[in-house]
Amino acid sequence: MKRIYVIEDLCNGCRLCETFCSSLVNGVFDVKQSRINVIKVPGEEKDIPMVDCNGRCVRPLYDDGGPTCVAVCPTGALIYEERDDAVARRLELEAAREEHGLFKVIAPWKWPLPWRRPGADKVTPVMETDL
Amino acid sequence: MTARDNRVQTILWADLSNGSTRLEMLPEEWTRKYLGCRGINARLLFDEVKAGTDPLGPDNVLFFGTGPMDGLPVGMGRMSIACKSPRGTVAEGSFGGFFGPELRRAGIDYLAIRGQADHPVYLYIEDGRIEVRDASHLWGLKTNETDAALRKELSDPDVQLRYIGPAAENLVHASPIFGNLNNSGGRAGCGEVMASKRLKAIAVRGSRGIRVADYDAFLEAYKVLRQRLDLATSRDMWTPVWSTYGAPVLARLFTDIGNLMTCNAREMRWDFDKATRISAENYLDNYVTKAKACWCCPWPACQKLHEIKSGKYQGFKGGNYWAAQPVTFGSLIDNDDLDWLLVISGLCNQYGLDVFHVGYTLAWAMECFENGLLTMADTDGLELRFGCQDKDGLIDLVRKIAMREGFGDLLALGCAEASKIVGRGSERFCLCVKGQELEGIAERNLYMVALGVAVSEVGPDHTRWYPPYPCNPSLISKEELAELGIDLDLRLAFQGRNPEQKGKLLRWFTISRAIVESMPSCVFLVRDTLGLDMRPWWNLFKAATGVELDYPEFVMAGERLLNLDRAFNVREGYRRADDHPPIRMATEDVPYFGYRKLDAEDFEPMLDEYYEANGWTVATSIPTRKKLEELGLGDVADEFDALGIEVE
Amino acid sequence: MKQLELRYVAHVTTITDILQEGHQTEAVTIRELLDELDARYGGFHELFVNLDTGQLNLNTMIYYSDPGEVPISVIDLDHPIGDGGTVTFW
Repeated sequence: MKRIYVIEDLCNGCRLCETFCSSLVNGVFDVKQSRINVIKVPGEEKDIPMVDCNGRCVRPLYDDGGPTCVAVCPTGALIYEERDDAVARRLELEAAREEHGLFKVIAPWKWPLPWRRPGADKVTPVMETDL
Repeated sequence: MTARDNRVQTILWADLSNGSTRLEMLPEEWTRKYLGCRGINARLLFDEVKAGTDPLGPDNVLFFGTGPMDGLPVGMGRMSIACKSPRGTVAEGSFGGFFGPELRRAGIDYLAIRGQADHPVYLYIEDGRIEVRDASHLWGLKTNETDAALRKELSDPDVQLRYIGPAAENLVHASPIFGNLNNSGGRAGCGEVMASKRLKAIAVRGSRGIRVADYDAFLEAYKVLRQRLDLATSRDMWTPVWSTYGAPVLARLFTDIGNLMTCNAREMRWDFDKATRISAENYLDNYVTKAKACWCCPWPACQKLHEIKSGKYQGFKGGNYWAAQPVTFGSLIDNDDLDWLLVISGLCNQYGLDVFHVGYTLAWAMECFENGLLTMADTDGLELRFGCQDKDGLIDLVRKIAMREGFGDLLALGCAEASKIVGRGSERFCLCVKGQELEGIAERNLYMVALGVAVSEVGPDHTRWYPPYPCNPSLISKEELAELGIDLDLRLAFQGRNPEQKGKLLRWFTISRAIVESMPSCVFLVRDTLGLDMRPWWNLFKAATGVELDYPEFVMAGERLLNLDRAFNVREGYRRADDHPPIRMATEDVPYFGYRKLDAEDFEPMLDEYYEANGWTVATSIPTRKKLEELGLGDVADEFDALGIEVE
Repeated sequence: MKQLELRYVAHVTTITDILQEGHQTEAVTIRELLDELDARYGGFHELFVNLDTGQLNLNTMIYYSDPGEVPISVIDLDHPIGDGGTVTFW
């Protein structure tokens, strides 16, 4: 069963997740109603999403039916996967970071341009690599 | 508490001379006419701060403005601060972060602060309740120290804050207001004015929900905007790069094409290897620790936190290395040590100094020194040369500027005032317009930039018409352009060194950015359609506020703002003669690439085109009565008449 | 054989893993140079060449300069390249 997993060090603290979620039930943007909250550590050095929902979103924003918070997250800090896939994503992120500093600030699955995968000699077109 | 709406906006007046406060509602009609944020600040400033008001006295008013989009996921936490600048012009700046949404959740859209406290104070605001509290224990603290102290004192890690640093307290020229550690705004004079009121900080907590007028329509409008801004779907080539690596990528490109101000813009081309050392690739790979963002921004890492990992400055932390610092502390002063650059930049943030003021004034001083106009006797023994050999000495000089010590006291005035004191031709090295230092963008290669910097009512401020660089005109089709009723030859307009169409292009860019900043939202996010199509914002505005207005009416709000700002300056005595480039750009050719100086022959016709397109008297730049009445600003024309100002 | 200076900006470095390099080539046009770089690194066709038009992808920029000349923004991929030229890929 898919769940929402959090990749904390990718969170940039924007609060898109929290803001949208808070409005999904009654159309009012009220952080107290949100089922995900971003804890900001003083000094703004960490942003930690805390998820209080089971992933079955009350109002998905897009037609794919995925949770709205995951859909709006700009960095890829939130993912909606089965456990094994979530682990694979996390490892994918770590491997990508070893190669390219870019992935300190964005998840590789969110990056829309060609890039060289870890272990590959060259960049291969997206269709040929698994996402 | 009940949720609030976005149709009627509220203003909290505070008079620090007597501690009185009152909360009022603004006329509902203002939401339609001025939208909010910068638009309403422009109206308030014109109404409340009359000509001749002492900017550092009790009658100047400091406005903090949010707007109908703040707190909604499209407002990006933007807010506008406005007052009269100590230089005499409008002082308006915007910044992001998280303060705006919190203030709106507290039920307040605008804060208007007049008077002067007789001892340092801070304002504490919680859900419509406001207290004026003693800040004597905070006065003198750096911005990061103030942030930490207030969070601890208020036992609230999520309280939102705006504050000034020691530089503003010491009335150092161009000191901005800061918040969320590395966000700043109002370098046109707002920090100094805040300090003149002895207001050290503002803290706010709000707990109300925000209701939009039509939630379903709002979500649909959000999806349209998000599609334009998201890395995966944006038409603009810059979006993925801009939102991750960031603006410092420009160092390597611009040095190649003669667009990088080097050694006080005496040169426009730097050494490519030096540019590479301070460029975004090095920064992202070796210094960045984390992505940061403003409220609800769809971009992953416009802001960042960084740390120096090794060497002399190991452990020094900061954030937001962006477009200014690669120029002001890089090419402009011929420094390619990124560690030291980030330290200087971080110290500016901590002391509450404006990086443009410090960079350009240092560059001015270096050129003066190299030409014998300043000697070591003047500089407290510091050998001030491009190349920044004496790194420790320069770090100490930044502190001295903030604290007005020794040679720092002269530089604290900014290079316009400093060159008046030093004289002997040092004015030639001062890169200022209306007494305010430039930003980081080439003028002799990009004529729209030259025009935009010269006419901006607050002094140089490219965010008023951002983005400054010619974009690919194929990003928007002729059909779309016709639909929008925009009469521009884009091909000509985007030719960098062709004076034609620049006035018209600037007019449209200024109006459209004014709209975005009145929502508010972030001008970085207009890139997808070159800032030509404002309909996504129009749809969001209608869905959020329930105000029904057609597209031309929506656009007119931006033009209203432009005219109110111009009218404020006109009332203070500013005219066409004040809208001109810095001396160097007007009189010196770039030494290569054939980029000529901006002499009158090229510049004046652009100014004519701009004023004509705006409906302003070409000889003076004063808005005509016809234009003002068309915009529903007949009262401004009447006031001009009453003051004996010639209105055509 | 021509000697070129190639420069890679930001996201392009995630394809090449380097910031810049000298490059010897027989290529006569930008298009042929892109073919070579795509063969070596992959990714260059996908990033820079529009499948429909066969010309430069509007979402990208390539700057080219002959020695001592002002760099120009390449529009036509059949733009000629000369010995000592500098090419910057965005």
